[in-house]
Amino acid sequence: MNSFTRGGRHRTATRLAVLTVTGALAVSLAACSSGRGGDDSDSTSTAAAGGTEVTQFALVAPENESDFGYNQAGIEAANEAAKELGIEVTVVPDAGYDNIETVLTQVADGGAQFIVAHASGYGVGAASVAAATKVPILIQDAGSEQNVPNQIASAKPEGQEGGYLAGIAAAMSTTSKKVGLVLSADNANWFAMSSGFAEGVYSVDPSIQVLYTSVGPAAYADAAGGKTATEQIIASGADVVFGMGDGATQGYLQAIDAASNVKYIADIGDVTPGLSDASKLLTSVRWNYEPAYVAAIKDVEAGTFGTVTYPVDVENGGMYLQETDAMTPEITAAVEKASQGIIDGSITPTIATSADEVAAVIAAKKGA
Amino acid sequence: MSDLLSTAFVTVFVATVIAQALPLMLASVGETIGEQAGVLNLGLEGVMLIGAYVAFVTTLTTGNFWFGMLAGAVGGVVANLAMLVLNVWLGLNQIVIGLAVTLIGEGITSVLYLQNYTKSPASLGSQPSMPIPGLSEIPVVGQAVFSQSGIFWVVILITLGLAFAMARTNWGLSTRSAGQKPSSLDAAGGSVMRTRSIAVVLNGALAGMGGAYLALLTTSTFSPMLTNGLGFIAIVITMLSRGRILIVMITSLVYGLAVAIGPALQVSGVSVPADIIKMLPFLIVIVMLIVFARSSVVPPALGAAYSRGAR
Repeated sequence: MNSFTRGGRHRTATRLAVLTVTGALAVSLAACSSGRGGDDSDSTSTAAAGGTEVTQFALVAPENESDFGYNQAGIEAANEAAKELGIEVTVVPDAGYDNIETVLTQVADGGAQFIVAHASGYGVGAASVAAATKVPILIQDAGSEQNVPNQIASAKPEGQEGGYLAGIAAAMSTTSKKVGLVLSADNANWFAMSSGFAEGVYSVDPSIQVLYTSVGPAAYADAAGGKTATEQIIASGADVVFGMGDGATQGYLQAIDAASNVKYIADIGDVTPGLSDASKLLTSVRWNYEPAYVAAIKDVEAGTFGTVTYPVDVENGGMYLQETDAMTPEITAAVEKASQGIIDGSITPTIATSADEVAAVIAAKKGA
Repeated sequence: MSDLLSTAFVTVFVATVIAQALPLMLASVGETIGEQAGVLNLGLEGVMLIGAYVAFVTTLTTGNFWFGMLAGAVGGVVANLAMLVLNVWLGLNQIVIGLAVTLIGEGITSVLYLQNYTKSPASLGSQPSMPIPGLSEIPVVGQAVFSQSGIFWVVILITLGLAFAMARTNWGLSTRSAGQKPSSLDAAGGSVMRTRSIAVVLNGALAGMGGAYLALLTTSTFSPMLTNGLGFIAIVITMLSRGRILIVMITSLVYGLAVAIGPALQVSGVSVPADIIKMLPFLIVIVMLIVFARSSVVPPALGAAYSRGAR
């Protein structure tokens, strides 16, 4: 999902388009004065001691909403947060990973009073831009030690919680007693979701076999590899597959579409448009960044931004399972019960940080 | 581990090997013909991507996979026109033009896809299979090999036909002469320009078909950078195969095996790092390069523009 290695792709034309868009953005943001702030002097006025009233913010994402996942979730959340707060948002998709300091600086110079840098690979560049421009930037997946008051704070998805809920749904849906995990990259969030998923499965039925496969260390966009891995996991007998993969998701969906009696669990976004038969979607572990963005913007205005990390979790509605026809009332009830357990702390899914740790959780059948 | 031995799993495994091998095989055969004629096409990656995208759009529009394959071949030829005009006809640097074609292919297909399919990514579905009576009933290979689509068999026939033509026909002899000693071909009354032009057109058509096969049959969709370096692997395989198309076919199958084996091991519970899985096909190619480097022979005139009378 997010790593520097993905930035190695040759996407020259897209980069040029992004630079053009950000240039135009700089002009348009500078010229724009509508929204909550009123005129320019208002937009920089202090809303609270040490805070800045936010009338316009921006989200910079490495890809666009067609990934059915991470980028889609960020862009949708930014639009929803803007709607909720009655402010303006400018979305800069397809920014890639190269020259991110330039993109963020142009966005800041264009008048954005708060920026969401929607990729963990943006962390280093975002920190230097925030320090130079004094525009607060929300980065991703960083520890609290990277917080800098009024400059940098992080949004942190609690993927293990969503994975746990998905595991319950998978365990209650499988008839072959085999469920599969397919990852397209070595990604901390996906490892956490995978360990949570395995424990969720075992909490329902420890006899269920959890199969695991990875397309590659950074094969985020490898649709062909994704299809191959998913086909093989289905051939091994899995009839519920939990796929995590950005562009590789398209490969997963082709394999799911071609198989019979197999259900798919997506992550982060809504993959329904990508399936020819929508009934094959059991659910999706949806990530909703809106609560995190709204809280961060309010903290910018209060002058407290950079003092806390903003969770994307079950408790604040940032992590939940998508409703589908395949989610029976029994599954929904079990998921709701587990959600309460996560909120009250009686259920604490393991946070795996590597493939080996995921394998250990799968082998240990913890959660049973 | 017992999961690996089930009929269903082995069937899918064999089918995966084939699905991964054929795009590479088509591109490698195309590159073989080009290189034997003396034209090094480093733009193969870009040509494959253009072929894949054109095939994807055509199939999506018409609903017909055969039209998609044909369009992929045409797209490949069009993409290779830069090689034809700038390299063969004008004698410009083949390496520079080839890399430019790769970058253009990667960029233009990514931009067009993101422009047109961002909101509603499309699936092509599966190409109807063509079971061969009797043979398709054989366990494992019956489903994996003898129940492939018609396109698979056409591709195999084209490849075998080209292998025969390159080895046994006057056209094949002329093509190899254009790469070995173009002045001899010229002196014998043959046209080096025409021979190389035909080779470049075939190179483009086959690379385009390789991309089309990857999009239509292997992946059933298109995504930016779909080829993932396949074009460059095809160039290496071509150089290792010394112009022998049958060796190209075998080497492509080894590549398909390398791609399929990683996920298979993981699914069976064997702990294989994702890095190894992704590296395996490339590692095998590197090992082959090391082992067979001494026996790899490229045509003496490869990469050199031909100018009558020039020394």
